[in-house]
Amino acid sequence: MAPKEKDSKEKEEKVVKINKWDGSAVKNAIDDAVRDVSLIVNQCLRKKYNYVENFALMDGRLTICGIAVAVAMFALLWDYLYPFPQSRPVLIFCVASYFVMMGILTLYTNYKEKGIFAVCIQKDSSKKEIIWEASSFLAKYDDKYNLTLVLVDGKTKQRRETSSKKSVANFIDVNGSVVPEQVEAEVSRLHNSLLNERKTK
Amino acid sequence: MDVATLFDDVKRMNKRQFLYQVLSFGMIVSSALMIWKGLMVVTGSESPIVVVLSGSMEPAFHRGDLLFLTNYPEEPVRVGEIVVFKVDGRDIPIVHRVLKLHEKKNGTVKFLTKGDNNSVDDRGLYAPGQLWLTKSDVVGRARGFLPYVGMVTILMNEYPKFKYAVLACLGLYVLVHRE
Amino acid sequence: MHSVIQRGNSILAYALSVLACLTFICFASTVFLNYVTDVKINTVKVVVKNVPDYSISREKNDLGFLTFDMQADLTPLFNWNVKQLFLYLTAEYETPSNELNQVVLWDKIILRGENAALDFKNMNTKYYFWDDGNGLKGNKNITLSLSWNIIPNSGLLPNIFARGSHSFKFPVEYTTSRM
Repeated sequence: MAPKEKDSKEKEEKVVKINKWDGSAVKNAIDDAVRDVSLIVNQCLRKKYNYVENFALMDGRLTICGIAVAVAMFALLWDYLYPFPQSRPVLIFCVASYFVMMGILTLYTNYKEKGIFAVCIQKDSSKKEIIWEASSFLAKYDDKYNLTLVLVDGKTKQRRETSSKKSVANFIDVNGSVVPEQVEAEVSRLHNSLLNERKTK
Repeated sequence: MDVATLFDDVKRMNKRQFLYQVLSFGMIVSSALMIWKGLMVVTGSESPIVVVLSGSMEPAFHRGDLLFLTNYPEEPVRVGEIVVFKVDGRDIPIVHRVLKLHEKKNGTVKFLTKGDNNSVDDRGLYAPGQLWLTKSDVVGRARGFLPYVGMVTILMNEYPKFKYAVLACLGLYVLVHRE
Repeated sequence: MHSVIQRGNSILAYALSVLACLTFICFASTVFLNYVTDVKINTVKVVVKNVPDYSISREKNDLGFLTFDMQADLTPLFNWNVKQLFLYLTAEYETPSNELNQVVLWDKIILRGENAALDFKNMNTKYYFWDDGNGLKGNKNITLSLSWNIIPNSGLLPNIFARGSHSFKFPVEYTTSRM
């Protein structure tokens, strides 16, 4: 295989193509693109601002899920080793804690994550921390992609947010391929408006 | 959707997203499991839901109907109740009605069952030499009834290939598809 | 809503949830109903014999014979969530060896739409009245009562005792002649 061909193939793979009629696929693809953009922004600004992506939110969700699944597997194993009437107390404990974990997971995704899919921390040279959060929302059978950028000042805990509501047609072409340039433009616009707002204050 | 694009979603995932995908598949399985175990604890029966597999209780229960069981130790067995019991040497529990019952002062009970649609009692179905059932044979007592729903499991057990195909498709879908 | 499979899936899921909802309404609309009515039972002829029950052993056990009259109107028990009534006539008594004995002597299945106004005269029992030993001869208190197990279209499976039972005593001598 000629190296040129290989090159073009790799490039092709980078184009994210999805089924544009599948709502959740569209949302996930744009979310990913937004995250990538913010990472690109990171890379450009790394020297200046030192952006680092923070995975704590996602890790929290993974921990809750992991504990829940582990509890269920433990119950299965215990019930296998000590058949039912004997295993009753352990089963009661496991079932109760499993459903508690499910409740916690629901609360966590609804009130802590709130659709946030990317968190970046920007460290100033003067050790001031600024947290960027990106969250999105796409209603079922709707084409309006709601993107929200939140800026939290690490010290004063002041929050400022800005959001945009645009049809997914702005970010995805006719064939269902995500157009990174469009996404980047939108993210940069929101990003800059937040920064400017800050300066004017 | 053609096969090549099927795994695109998975390929694009990062480590955490992939782990979450596996965990959410695990949670679907665990939820079903924990609901079942929870029902076991609540009803006291090792098999809280059974599917009727024979026509011996017709016209009350047909093949594929679903029965909800309870098995509280303090609740006495009485004549006319529908019990689900296991017999040594038979894998499948039997759903039949109690016809005769004798309870001694110390609380030991022996009873005889019969299917509504059978003309004779169940002595022929019991293990050789067994004349009566006791409480330890009972899996549960029928308390609730839901028609037809068990047809799915009967279909699956009769066509194992169909069962594996359905399970494989569902599993693949959940693993590959992001919410 | 972009492929045949997804549309089919949505339709199926919606149809199933509507069915489940309707089934639950059907169950909830009848769950608190009272299914008790009056019944009149009377015994006509009562004899007791002492013969071996070869289906159990060669030992001689008491075997009761009786014929009974019964009047009951069960038509009001039926509603849209009663598929079938399973009627059973129980003889309940105490013997020196067993604290509680329950023997079903007769049963009948009434499906919805069938005649539920019962008026039996001098009926024979459907099952043999074997005692677990020799406790029938001279037994002074045998209670006959009618109960029914309600089989719904979907829902609970209650066993209900009718108001009105009949007590009788067995003769103090065995009958040796053939009946």
